[in-house]
Amino acid sequence: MRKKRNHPDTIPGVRSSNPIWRLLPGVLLGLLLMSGWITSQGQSTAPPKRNISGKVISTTDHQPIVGATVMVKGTSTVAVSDGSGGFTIKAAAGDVLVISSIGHLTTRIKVGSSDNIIAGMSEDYGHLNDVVVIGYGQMKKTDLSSAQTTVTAADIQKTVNTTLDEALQGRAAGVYVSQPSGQPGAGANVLIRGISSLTQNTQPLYVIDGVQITPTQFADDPNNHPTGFANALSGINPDDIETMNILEGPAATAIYGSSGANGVIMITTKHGKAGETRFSASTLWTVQDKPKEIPVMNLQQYATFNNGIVAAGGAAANPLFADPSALGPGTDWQNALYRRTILQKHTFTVSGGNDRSTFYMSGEYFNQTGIAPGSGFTRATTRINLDNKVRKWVRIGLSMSPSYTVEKVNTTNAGIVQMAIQQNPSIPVKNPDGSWGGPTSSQYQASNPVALSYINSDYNKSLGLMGGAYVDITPMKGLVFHTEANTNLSYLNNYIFHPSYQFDGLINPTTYSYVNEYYNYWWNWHARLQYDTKIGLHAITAMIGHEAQSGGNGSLQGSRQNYVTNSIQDLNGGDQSTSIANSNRSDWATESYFGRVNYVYNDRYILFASLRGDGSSNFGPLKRWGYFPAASAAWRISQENFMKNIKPINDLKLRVEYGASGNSGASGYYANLQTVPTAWGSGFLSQNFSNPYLHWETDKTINAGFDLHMYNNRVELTADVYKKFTSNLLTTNPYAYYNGGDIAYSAGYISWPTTNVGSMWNKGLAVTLNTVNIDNRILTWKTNFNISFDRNKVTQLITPINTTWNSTQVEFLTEVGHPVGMITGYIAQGLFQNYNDIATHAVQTAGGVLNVSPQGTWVGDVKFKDLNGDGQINASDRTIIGNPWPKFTFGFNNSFSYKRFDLNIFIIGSVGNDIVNYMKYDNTIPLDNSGVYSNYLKAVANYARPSTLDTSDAKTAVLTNPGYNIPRIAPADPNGNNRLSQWNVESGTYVRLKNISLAYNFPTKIFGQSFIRGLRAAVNVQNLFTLTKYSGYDPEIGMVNYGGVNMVGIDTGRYPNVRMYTFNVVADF
Amino acid sequence: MLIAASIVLGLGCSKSFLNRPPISNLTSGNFYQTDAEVMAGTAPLYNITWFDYNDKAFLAFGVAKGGSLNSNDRTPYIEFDASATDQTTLLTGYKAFYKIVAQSNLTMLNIAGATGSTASDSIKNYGLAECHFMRGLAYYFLVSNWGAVPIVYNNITQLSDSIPRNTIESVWQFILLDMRWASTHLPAASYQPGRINKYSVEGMLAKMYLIRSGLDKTEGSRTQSDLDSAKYYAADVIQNSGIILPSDYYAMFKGVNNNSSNNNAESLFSLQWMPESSPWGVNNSFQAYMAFEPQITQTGDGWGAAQGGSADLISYYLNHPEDSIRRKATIMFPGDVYPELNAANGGITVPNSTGYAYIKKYVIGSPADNNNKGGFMAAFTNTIVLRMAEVYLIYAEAIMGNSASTSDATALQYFNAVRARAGVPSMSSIAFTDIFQEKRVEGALEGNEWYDILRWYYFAPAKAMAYVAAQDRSISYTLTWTPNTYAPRQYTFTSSGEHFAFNANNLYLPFPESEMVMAPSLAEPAVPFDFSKLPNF
Repeated sequence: MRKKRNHPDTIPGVRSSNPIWRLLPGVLLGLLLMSGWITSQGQSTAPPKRNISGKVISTTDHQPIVGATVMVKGTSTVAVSDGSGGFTIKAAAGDVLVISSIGHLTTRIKVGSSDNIIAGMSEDYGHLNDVVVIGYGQMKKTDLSSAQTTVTAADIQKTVNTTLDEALQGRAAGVYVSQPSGQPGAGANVLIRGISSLTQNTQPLYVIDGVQITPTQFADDPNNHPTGFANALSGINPDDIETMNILEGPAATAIYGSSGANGVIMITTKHGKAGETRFSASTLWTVQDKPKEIPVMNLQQYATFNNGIVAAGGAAANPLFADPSALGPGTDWQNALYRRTILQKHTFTVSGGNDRSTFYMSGEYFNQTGIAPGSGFTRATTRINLDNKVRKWVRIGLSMSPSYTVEKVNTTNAGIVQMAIQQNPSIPVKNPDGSWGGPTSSQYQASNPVALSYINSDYNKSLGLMGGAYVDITPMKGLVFHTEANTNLSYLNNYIFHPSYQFDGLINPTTYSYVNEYYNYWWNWHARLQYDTKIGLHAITAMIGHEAQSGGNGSLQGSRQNYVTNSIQDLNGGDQSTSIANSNRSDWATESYFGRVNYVYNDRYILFASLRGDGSSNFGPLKRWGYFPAASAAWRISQENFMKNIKPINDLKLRVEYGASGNSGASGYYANLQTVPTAWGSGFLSQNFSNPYLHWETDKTINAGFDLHMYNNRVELTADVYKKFTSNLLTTNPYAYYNGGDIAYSAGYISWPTTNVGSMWNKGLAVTLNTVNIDNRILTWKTNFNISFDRNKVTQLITPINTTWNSTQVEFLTEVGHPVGMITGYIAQGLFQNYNDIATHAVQTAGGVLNVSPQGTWVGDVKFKDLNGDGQINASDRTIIGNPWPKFTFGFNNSFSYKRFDLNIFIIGSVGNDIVNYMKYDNTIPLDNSGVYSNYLKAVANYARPSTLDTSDAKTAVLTNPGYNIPRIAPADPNGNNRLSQWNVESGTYVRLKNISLAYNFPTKIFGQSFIRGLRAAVNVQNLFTLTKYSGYDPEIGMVNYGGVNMVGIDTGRYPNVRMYTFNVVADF
Repeated sequence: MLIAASIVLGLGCSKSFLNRPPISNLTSGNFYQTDAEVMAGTAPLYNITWFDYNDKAFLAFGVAKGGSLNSNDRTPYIEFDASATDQTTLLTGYKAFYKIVAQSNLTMLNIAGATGSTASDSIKNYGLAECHFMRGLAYYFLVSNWGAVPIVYNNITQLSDSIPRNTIESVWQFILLDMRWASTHLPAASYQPGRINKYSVEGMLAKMYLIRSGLDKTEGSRTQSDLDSAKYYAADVIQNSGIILPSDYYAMFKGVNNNSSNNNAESLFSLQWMPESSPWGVNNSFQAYMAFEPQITQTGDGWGAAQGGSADLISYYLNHPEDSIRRKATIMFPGDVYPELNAANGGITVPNSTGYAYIKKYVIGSPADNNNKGGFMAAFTNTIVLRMAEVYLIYAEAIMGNSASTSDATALQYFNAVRARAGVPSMSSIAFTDIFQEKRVEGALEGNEWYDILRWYYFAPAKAMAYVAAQDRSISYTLTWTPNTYAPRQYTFTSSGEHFAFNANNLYLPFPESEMVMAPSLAEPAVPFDFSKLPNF
């Protein structure tokens, strides 16, 4: 569906002849049908018609209302208010003028003797007359029987957003948005109503004017970083968006069948409106602050610690550290890396048209320089949306949006954020001669993070084109044939150039370059037939349709090494003999049939049913097709006579719905072979365990809710409860390793089979409360509050899925009876204080034999709890030590208008989730995780100091500095101090003042006759403060896909989000 | 309206619209059709599947645990206290062997099940034999490192977490079945240089029979039929394979003489590494970890400053200065000059100041030293798994059999052939410990050290434990050359004197913790394997 506008598209004074496609606001369909009935009554009434002129104004600010529809009740006589709110209409005394306009309550005025009428319209806070977008169509808001939420352009523009998915954060109940990286341009994670798949993409389906996009899940692999962090939405200018309709209820999403399981976000971009051409320009400048630093040891503390390592036999003595007190503070790497930078965004829009054609054009330039050098995001986009009414019965439209983005990713690809925490303070950023500083040798040493951020060159350029065209044909009244074709094309260029370098003793002799040229295509074509009719009090809408989609991609990669010079960075500068080239292609297709019926009786009882059948190329002929039915019912109880007397209630609708949708994202039907170079040419090995019976993941959801509008629509309360049952989970089940597979890449591995095993449920509550607290001519105060609760539980799985982060002790367990991805580990009970403490405790060393010595368990080692009481500490003593899922999330927005000032305060929060602070874990246990040359957190300066390291003195060994939880320096960690314990799991609860903005609308009269018609200036602070106990950079850490499953709740030292100060001017011409 | 509706629904796509087999990938269903395809289907079993063994387990399980390596990274293996939670070495090594098993099994199923194949029976058998050989060898490492382990012969039908462990006897029987199948289905000549042939497998059979002869036996009463089999196969390889010992021990381990383009003349089976690392795993990472300085490799690796010969190995060479050829080819002593390493820059001289004996074997120098082949963590040299000298020593021991010693002329002939090449004097009577010691020195750092101790433990546990307890496994030592002393050079050697004994409890490695969680059946008693379940190929 292309046209999703709510505004009348006729210009003042021009009568519309085909009301069905005028897309009038409010109860359009009703009026249309009524007009037919009225027309049939003939013209027999007596009083003569005369010209009535009038003006439509807002009762709030007394400003004229442009484009309001004025209709003589019971006739087809219609007028539309002009640019100054004025209208003229033929009516007779005693006629009733029905005046309607989007966003206002419909007003009725009886024509008396006066020829002049002032019609005051009050704001309709309930938007009950709105027409909202649904899957493959649109519907009167009052006719909806499924849960869905609308986010408007006005909401989006209140925060500074790089991408549109970020703009959703805190705006809608049931929608959990988190940012897995602060890397400029990085995609957000959007979860609608909780996680619905373990292995597949959990991002919702975005339908942007018909272009269907499911952005890829943010993936991370610390050893093999993804080449980019932006997702498929990054090429869209958030300012082009008119509305986002978030389909959450199962009856609403089921029409998208196999793509709908994660919820659907219907995005309508702005279209032109008939009338004078409008030109608007906006400029925005933001200063991004430095992050707060993670406290690490300074040089004195580091030197003392290093001497401790030497004493424990873990390293050779460093003569420079002989007297730590003589040293300065050393290098503050985080301070050296981060800097304040600018984000800027400039846009223009031109829109307008006449009664036949409308247009909307926009352009945007966006540039965000990262706070760490070597990171940034730039975007240039334009959009053209055209609509034309060719004949009374034919309407066509076209939209197109080319975009260009550049993502600079040195920082993330080289792990520079983490390196800036771990590099030790004895190394200078730069030497006195201006060259980059570095360690004295290469082995086990980290590089210079600041230098790498400058000398590497990693970027991703993307050229995208999104667009489509539609035709609407209305061969007879009520019957519409609609067909549209859409496409989304992108061409990407990943580029990596890592020059050879020498930073003092650290030598990287190899220059490496890599280029990946990648294209991606998607198209769909669908046709549908819709019939609307009303027979008496029965209104019926029926639709059937067919859709075909296909997509694919191809890539060509090349790499070379050993460049003679770093100044030629293309492949031709590298050594031919190191050249590696590769190419890949893949494609997919789906075909679908769908239909739905909506029945409304007397605007009170609503019944809805739909069915979709999807065939997917991801599955074999045996299991190719899936069917997804849905049904819902609603009762507008407020329309009943017994409710009419309850004055405060404007509208109350009770809803109940059921629907099925699915997820087809899996591959694994085919038994692929991997190509392996061998001495005898290319060889081939199995790549995966295939599964010929692979089929759909299914979600079946029941939902009940209500929409209540009270007190002149100044209070709007919507609440929904749901329970979603996901079954046939597409899981890549890790089996015992003796089956030969592996969960992540390892040389020659076979990936585990993808199977339809497992089920889980999500249940939750989503509440939205919108109120207008104060509304008078001077001050208005509105609040929007939404809160979401979601609980998840796995109910069936062959084997627990135990995901290990990067071969460490950090593990996440998905098992029956618990929510997905629980954090597991040991319970640390403190440090061993003396010999008795060790001898009376369960044996912690491998082999189960007590070994009290520095090469076994010693004073100052961590004491882990023997949960099963078997006298040994091993994997069976692991338990759940954290739940990464929030108990609830909320968004709370307050907007105030005082005279010409607008103040907006937006608060978001997430409560009750746990985070594995991996960055802390990695930098807390002496030697074990990060090695001899790494710096550690400041707290490590209090590492345990046993009184002796001599085994023969074991009985008398004590801890000389009790009271801390940092274990002793133990080379090779014989006691297993690196077991993950609850010490490294922290509460991720936070409440954040996400944005506060103050805007001033300049009075138009000050511009006089100049070309400026309107001017608005705003200042805004984003991420002003965050209430949290979390000790990492940022408690908002998001979710990553790692090793084929969705991993939540691990903070690996992600690129931090920072405070942003913005100044913004919007001018209309 | 109905007409319009039928038009909409009639817009269906053709059936092929939803058939989208992978474009860029082969699938098992459309491969293994010709001789060349069958051979391409088994070729990767010579490299990528063995990477994780070669990268980690090879040194940790075989050499460090066997007492020949000093390594700051592998201390738990030297000290017999490897942790079940060790993810980098233990788990990776464990997975490596079962990956080899799985890839061999799946390839066998694919070759045997290919429909419409035009490949000849002899080539199909060749491919199947290669799979049997690789699987049998992987089980040799599994049974040697973990004892009773589950036997997996069909990764499709057996896929589960409840496969029981099979007894050590069953696993040995399975290994020998695999090797015998391979030996009877392979021709005498390799299909391509570096691929196994009948003699490769017979050499391996000789080794396996010799080991099994001691299983659960006592000294002097090893299973005679197994000893006879070892003798039979060793003799066939020695007499009929055409392989003779090259005369120059040192040159044999130069990269240019031992790589997948130019296989070592003495090799019966070597892992065939590529001079590149894409995809990760076709490369040999040994030199990257072991070369003591980056100047040697010139590829940005060479992290072996804390990797060297063990105090025990050094002591042997200090006590046997006559064994200098093998010494210099195995570990670097301070003051040694290696002109062929980084030859373009004048070779490498081992510093005296560090007091350490670095690793030489398989350290081959820069790409420039190796016909411009190789790269970062991808030294172009093969890992030799079995070579003729070992078969000679197996032969000598099999002839000796259950006797305490032998002066058999044939046994002495082959035993002394190995010594003669090394420039050490012949012996006129040899006992088990002589052969054991000879094998240890001849094949030092080639990954067999621990497995030879284990096979000794099979029939003489007290002696094997005493042998290890007496080894100097010092964590630190200092070895310095007294400058200007030559022929023989004089060295000063002091070690910290640690000894680490093993016993029945830490004889085998623990199963990795994460594997125990996944498959609790590994904690159950082992059961005999039902050999009737095996397929007929």
